Amino acid sequence: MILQRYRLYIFLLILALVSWWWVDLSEKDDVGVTVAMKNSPDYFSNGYRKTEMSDAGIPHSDLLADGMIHYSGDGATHLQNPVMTLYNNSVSPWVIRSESGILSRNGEDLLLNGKVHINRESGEGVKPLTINTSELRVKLPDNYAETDEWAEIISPPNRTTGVGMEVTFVEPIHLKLLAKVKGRYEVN
Amino acid sequence: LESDSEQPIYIDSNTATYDDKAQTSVYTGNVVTIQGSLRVDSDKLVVYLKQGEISKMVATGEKAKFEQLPGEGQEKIKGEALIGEYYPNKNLLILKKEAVVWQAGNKSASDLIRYDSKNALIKAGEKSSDSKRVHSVFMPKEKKTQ
Repeated sequence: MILQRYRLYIFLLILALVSWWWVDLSEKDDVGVTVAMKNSPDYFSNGYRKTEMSDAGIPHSDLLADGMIHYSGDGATHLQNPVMTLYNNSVSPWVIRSESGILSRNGEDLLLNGKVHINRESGEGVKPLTINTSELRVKLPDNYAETDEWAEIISPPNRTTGVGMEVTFVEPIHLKLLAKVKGRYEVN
Repeated sequence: LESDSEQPIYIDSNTATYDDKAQTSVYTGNVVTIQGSLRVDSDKLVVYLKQGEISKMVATGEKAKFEQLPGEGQEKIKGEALIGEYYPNKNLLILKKEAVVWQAGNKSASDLIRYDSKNALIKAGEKSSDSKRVHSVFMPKEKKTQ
C-alpha cells in the first residue's frame, strides 16, 4: 500500500539521479576536450631553420628541420629530422642529427628523441669524432648535452662505449661516460 | 707473449672522461686493461694519445698490479707498484714507487723497475740514484733427491 502511494516520488528520484549522472558524464568529456584543445597545434611549417648569432655577430648555432609544429599550450616546437650545428670558433663544428626533437618554449632546451648521431670533422689539432647515442637532452646556451642511454664515442681507430654520457661542446671540449665503460684501442 | 704487442688494447672501467684538446682519456674505478696476455688492474688509468695512437698509459692505484704470460706453458710474471707507465710502441712497462716483480719464484723490489713486455726482461733500480736500490730474492732450485 505504501509503495503504491510513493511510487511517483521514487520514479522522480530515479529520474533525477539518472539525469545528474548524465550531466556529470558529459562535463568530463568537455574537460577532456578542453585539455586537448588547450595544447593543440597553433601553427606549423614544412622546412624550418633557426640561426642564433653570438654577441659578435658570428653564427653560434643553426637548427634545421624537415618540418615543425608549434603547440600553443606548452609553447614547445616539435621538429622532424632536426639537424643542429654548433659552431666553434677554433675547431670544426659539431653536427647533431636525430629522428625527432622538441624545442622548449624558451628555445634553450632541446630534447632529441630516438637515435642521435653527433659528428665533428677533423681539424687543426683535432681528430674526427663520432658519437652515437639516443634521447639526448641539449642545453643550448651552455653548449652541453647529456643522456642516460648507451653511448658510443668513435675516434678512428679507437672506440669507447658506456651507459650515460655528458658532453661539453665548447673549450675545453670533453666527454664523460658515466658507467660500464669499455674502451678499445688499436696498436700499430 | 711475444704477440701481445700486436693485439688491440681493451679497457674496462666504471667511468671515463675524454679531453679533446689534451688528447687524453681518463678511466676511473676498477680499471682493467688487457693486451693479449698482459693485464693491468688499477684504480685509475690515463691514456695519452698522439694522432689517435696511444703514446703512453699511466696506471695508478693502491697498488696498480700487472701480470703477463712470458711464453706458452711458462709461469706468469706478476708485479705491482703505486705507478705503472706503459709505452705500447716500446713494449715497455715502468713500475715506480714500491715496485715489486715476481718471476718464476724470484722476487725483485725497488722504487723503479723496467719490464720489457716483449721479451719478458726485468731491469730493476737505477745506476744514478741510491734511492732506487734493488732487493732481490732468488729461490734455489729444488735439489733432485738421490
